[in-house]
Amino acid sequence: MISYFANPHRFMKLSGVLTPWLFAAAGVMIAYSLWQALWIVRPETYQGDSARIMFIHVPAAWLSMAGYAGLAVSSFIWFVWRHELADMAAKAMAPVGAAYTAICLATGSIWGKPTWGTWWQWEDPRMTSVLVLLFLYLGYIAIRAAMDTRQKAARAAAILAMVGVVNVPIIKFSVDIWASIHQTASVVRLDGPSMPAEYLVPLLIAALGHSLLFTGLLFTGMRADVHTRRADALVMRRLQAAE
Amino acid sequence: MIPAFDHTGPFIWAAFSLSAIILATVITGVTVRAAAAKARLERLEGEEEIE
Amino acid sequence: MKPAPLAAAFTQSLGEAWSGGAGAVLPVGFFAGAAMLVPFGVGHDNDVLARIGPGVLWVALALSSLVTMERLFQSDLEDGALDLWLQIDAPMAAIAAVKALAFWLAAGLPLTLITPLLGLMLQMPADTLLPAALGYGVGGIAFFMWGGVGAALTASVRRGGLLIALIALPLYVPTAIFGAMALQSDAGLLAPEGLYLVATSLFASAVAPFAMAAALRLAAD
Repeated sequence: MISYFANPHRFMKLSGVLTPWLFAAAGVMIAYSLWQALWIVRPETYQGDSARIMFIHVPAAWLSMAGYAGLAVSSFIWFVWRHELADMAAKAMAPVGAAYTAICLATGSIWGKPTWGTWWQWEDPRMTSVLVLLFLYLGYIAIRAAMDTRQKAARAAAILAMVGVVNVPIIKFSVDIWASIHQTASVVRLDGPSMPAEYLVPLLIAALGHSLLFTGLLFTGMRADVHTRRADALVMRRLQAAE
Repeated sequence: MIPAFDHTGPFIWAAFSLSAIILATVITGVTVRAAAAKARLERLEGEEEIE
Repeated sequence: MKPAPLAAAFTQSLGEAWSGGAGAVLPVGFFAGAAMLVPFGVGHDNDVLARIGPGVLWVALALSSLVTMERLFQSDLEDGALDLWLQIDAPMAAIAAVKALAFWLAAGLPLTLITPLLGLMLQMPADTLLPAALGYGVGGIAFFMWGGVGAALTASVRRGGLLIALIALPLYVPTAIFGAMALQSDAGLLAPEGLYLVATSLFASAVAPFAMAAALRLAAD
């Protein structure tokens, strides 16, 4: 009990100070990247203006994968050391990671239509892998929701996250092989054969901005969790005192 | 001044708008839930002080 | 290692899979029904059917394996066998593995055995049917192992059937991919994809039991 209150206390202090700044910095960076994406950068050679979608699609792709990796690492840390903050982190990362996964798939599909001519291209192994990743996220969120108690939800979800993350390289490998068998020479990777230099800086700023947003949302979710737990503990104490 | 794109314009706007909507939904959901949790805690702590 | 709980778990699972719901009839019936629906949906062009036949059977096999999963650990949870095993410190991973294998024997093997018949009806070339059956047999083990993980995680959840599917389907993807690709090549299981298929089943058999054991411990609490 004591160790639980000690660390979250420090986390609450730190996150209380940090979170508004995270959101502010994220807002500035994302706004800058949007300005660059929509107004400043020139159309790409092969894909024309549609390549601008990259400035949301690529950061979303990175965060979808980083989110699941973070979820899995947090789950492992919690499973082995029972550090409560780790479980709270995993729980908070899931919906945000899933949202970025959905954004990656939606923007990828929308970008693909003018580029490939179809709303979906199974030959793109990365998009297919991200689709499977979405189901891994959904399964995680669903199993947490299905369990009765918090402890059970944490344990079940941790097991699922570890099983999932261990399968991710295998899924990626299988999808890569599967997608490549029909690959024609004309399949264009969504982010182009080579990225123009002027795209790189705004892209990195977009990625950083969205990462900060992700972290801000993560901290906000964890803080909400700590408040909920304290409130629940208060209610429990009063019920016990009343007996 | 809205930039003029080539024929891919509608796709670009669709992609960014959809992303904005999804992000707005998640941000709203997370912050509203956080505010509710904090309000509940403060209400419960307030009750304790009254007693 | 006490062999007694293992043997008991094995025979009990075998019996369970056979008894409730008329045994293997349910998954086999589902399998055959799903496969038979395909020509109605896709049209009776023999070339098309022959090309998609192996893949369709993989999908049907995956879905049929999920049909029985709900029952894998349900009775153990309900009648206290799970608590007993945990009390006597039985090797839970081994018990889980043995139960999943028992279910594969009772439900997965019959599915495998009728794939040549279904393949014939889906216009698959006759000489590919037996190697294909071997592939489906091996792949089915992976399906039952990962399905078992889903079953163990949802053991205490009412109506966990759909949740099992959501959990298991991403895990099924590599087996389905390599299985379908192996059947498309002439070398079958000896092609690289075939070896990868066997690898996915071996991997599942190595990892899934431990996940099942951890999930069962939590279900018993």
